[in-house]
Amino acid sequence: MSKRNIAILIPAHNEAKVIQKTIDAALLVVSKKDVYVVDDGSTDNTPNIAIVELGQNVITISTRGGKAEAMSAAFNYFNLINRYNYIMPIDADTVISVDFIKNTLPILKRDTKKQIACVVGKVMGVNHRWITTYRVWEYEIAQSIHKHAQSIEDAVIICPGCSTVYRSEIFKKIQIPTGTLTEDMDLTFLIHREKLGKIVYNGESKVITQDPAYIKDYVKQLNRWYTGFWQCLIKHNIPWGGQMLDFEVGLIALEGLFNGILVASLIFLIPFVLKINPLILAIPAGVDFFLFMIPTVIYTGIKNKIYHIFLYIPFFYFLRFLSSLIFLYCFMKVVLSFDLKMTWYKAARY
Amino acid sequence: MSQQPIPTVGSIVFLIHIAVIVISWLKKRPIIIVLIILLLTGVFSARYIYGNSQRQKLESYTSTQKNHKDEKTEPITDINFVKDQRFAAWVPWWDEDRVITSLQNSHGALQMISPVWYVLGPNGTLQENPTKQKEKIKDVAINSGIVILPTINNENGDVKDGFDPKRVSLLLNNKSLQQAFINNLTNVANEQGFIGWDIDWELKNKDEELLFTEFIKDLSEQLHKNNLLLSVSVQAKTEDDVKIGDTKGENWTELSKYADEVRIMAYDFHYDQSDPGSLTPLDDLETVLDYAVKVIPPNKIVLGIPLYGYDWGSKTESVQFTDAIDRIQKNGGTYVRDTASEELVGNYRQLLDKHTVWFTDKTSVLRILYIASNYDVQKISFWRLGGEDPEIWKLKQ
Repeated sequence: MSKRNIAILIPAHNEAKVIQKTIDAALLVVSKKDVYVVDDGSTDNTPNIAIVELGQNVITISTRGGKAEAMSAAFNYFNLINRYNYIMPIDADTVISVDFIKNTLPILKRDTKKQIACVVGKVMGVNHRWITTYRVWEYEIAQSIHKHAQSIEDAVIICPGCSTVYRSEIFKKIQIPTGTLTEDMDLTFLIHREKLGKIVYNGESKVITQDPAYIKDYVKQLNRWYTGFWQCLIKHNIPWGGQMLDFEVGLIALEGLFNGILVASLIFLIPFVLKINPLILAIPAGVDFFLFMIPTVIYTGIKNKIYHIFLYIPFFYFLRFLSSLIFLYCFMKVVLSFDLKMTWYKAARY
Repeated sequence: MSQQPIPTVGSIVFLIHIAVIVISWLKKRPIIIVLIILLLTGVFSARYIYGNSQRQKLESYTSTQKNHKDEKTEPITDINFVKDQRFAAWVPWWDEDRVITSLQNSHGALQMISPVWYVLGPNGTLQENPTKQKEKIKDVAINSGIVILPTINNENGDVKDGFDPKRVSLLLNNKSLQQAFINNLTNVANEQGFIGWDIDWELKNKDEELLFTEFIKDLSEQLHKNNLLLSVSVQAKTEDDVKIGDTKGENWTELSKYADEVRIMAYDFHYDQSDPGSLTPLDDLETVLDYAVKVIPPNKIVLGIPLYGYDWGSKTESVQFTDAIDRIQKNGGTYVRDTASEELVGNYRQLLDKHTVWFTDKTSVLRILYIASNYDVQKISFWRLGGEDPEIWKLKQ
């Protein structure tokens, strides 16, 4: 039996509110036979919705074990690694764009020497409040600039769990890692460390995802991400691995920390600085505003057709400062105290 | 769900990544690199050509400046006359690091300094300016054989370069205040080892000319009793007294009877509030000297010569020689010599802000020294030490 092309795998835990939309979108790009759902101990209607749509392609794990375990279970149960050339795990709140597969698969197929381990698509946020507009901006820079450059440097630091198509063979060599709060970053670092192949970013392959709309959810989500970031750093011995990844992650970590410390100290120092010489602040602030903020906001505004994005700039600064502080907080929590307490957090769906 | 735990909070990684993208993009398009090189070459050539045309414009502009001599001044070949001149310099209290460097650079060319360490306070008493390196300057001066005759001005600390006539008025109209002030001067000079005092009170009231002369008379008597010298700094004026500003508060004939030196500040003919132009136009200088030698004994005349300049732009500032050169070079400007005044004139642009800088250097100073010597004026005082053209000191060697 010849291998099938691509499997879409949806691990889901209590996703009844959104899973229908996710399955519908997946069915627009692949056939019904190629969409799989792993119900990870849901207590709501998630498995029933999935079974109605996909029948036998749904399995249920009665005790919740987390995303990595759910995926491993599906790999084994459905023999996905041997039956498929490519596997795309997506989150239950992810809507794949209709041309995602069309834009992604040719890259992998052209790679006859199998040098590419996975292709990473672009994650798009949905803009409906100022926090989500910030996320749209953040995604745009994180991907069009950072990830694009990382792809060139061969140092993509994260293959998002919702927009990556893996060559299935890589899962013969590694297990999906567990033990951190950002399992997709953990997996990405592992691909680098095991030298399983290149990670290619393709901005034309798009998925749409939901992001927190309220500060409380936003803070919790960042807390999880950044905690996971520092956990992965320690787990994979960064920056001592001698790979481009170490340089890239090290640089980001350093800048993030520097910003965190700067913001934390500014809270106390601003009154003194303003009294002594406001120019000390005005120059770096001006550089940041004109070289970074304004160009990226214009770019994001035009590209995503959000023309009132400028009105949100003050909020953007607020969220950047807040993010810096959370990043610093997570560093202190994870790196300085080595407290690897895992808490799963999921944003409220709307 | 989990997308990008990169903190999008800073801009350094961002700029590095932009560079990575641009370089990788260019690597695939060598033709673009060639085009960029061509474009840059074009821009630099255009800039060079534009600079040259600006220089020509500047040259034609300076040579047609009104109130200036039209003929080119004869070159000065023999500079021996400088050796007979006594060099003194005012010393600002706010630029002391550069002052110390200048003192060290002057290699015996200076014989006297007048640091502006004192000010007539708003209540008519002697106050000290907030100098930070007074002792160091004193040491350097004494070790170089330079005598110190400090200046007392009437600057109002709240206003930059602002002089306050009210405090002068208060003192001139109060005999007991004057007596205390004079006594204080004698004491301070003796304590600090000064050889006398220089009074530089500017923008005085016209109707207090007599009172000022009377005060200078009393002051000189007291100082002379204590073997101290008195210098009075005055604004340049001419016979008809209309050349610059309001200078009627000073009667040169009377003042020179009592003061040991009358320092004529022969500069600021163009200043921050005027159009750009030379600090000391030579024909104006000659008119001032024509008048001065008539009313002041030549041995009491001290000619005040500018060692600075002005940078006229959206905001006009006084600059030193080194500042002026720095600004012009940093901003890709040019400078030429004004043939009439022999001062340097530069142009530069900072974005949309067009600047014109007039400033003095060794050559323009030498011309003034030469003219002074033609009038038998052998005492010179420079405003001011710090950031001047270091070549000036070589004139004495």
